[in-house]
Amino acid sequence: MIVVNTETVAGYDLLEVKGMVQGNTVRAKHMGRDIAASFKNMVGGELKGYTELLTESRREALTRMLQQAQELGANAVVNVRFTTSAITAGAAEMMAYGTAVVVTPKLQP
Amino acid sequence: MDQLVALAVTAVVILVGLFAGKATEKRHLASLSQREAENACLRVTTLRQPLDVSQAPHTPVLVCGEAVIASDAFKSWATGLRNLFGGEAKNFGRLYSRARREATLRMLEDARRQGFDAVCNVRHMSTDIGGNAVRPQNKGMPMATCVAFGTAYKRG
Repeated sequence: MIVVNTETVAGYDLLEVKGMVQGNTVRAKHMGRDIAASFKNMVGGELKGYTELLTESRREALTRMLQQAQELGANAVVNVRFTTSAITAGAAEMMAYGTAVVVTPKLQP
Repeated sequence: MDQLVALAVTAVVILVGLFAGKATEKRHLASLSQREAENACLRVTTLRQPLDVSQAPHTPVLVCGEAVIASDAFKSWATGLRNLFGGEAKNFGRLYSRARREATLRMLEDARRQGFDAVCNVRHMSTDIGGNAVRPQNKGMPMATCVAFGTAYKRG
């Protein structure tokens, strides 16, 4: 499955538009990460637990979006965007959405 | 007496934050500059379409990078003070720029690992993991969060 955030896939021709697809997830971190984070908030530096949380949520949201695209019979998702919303401290919603399309490689001249 | 002890503890925490935070920031900035120089060969744009894409089919992919950088006790305290007078909070501006640069670099490193040499349509976004917006009473943990994403492609 091709996933890009441009409107077309460079080097490919657009055959068919299948429609909008989306995937979302809300993830929370565990308490251990919380304790580490409150220490890090004293001395500064990267909150690795939270970075991981973001990476996992992004992957999960993309995976769910791709599942939808697959069900529609698409082979690519274009113009992918993300959005997030806050729900409570230590949890965040991540949503990925885009347009499922069918593309085919351009014929070489 | 109790109040005096509490005040002393707060002062120590802020001082630790000042020195540890400065050291962390300095180290991070050095690492950022070095890695930015390493990745300078990549063409990074916010253009919505790649301009100079290669002819041979080298399918573009979505690349992402995330970073969450914590404030330190001194920065948080100094910004609290800044809130009294208003004006630019340079401390937090620098904090956010570190998170942005880190997230962008991770995105570029992701692109390079997969053999691409350019990224277009780069977008940045932020999220509120600390939950400061939904629980305003919980203002203990200021942090800069950034997600960078774009489409990696091969230049022609």
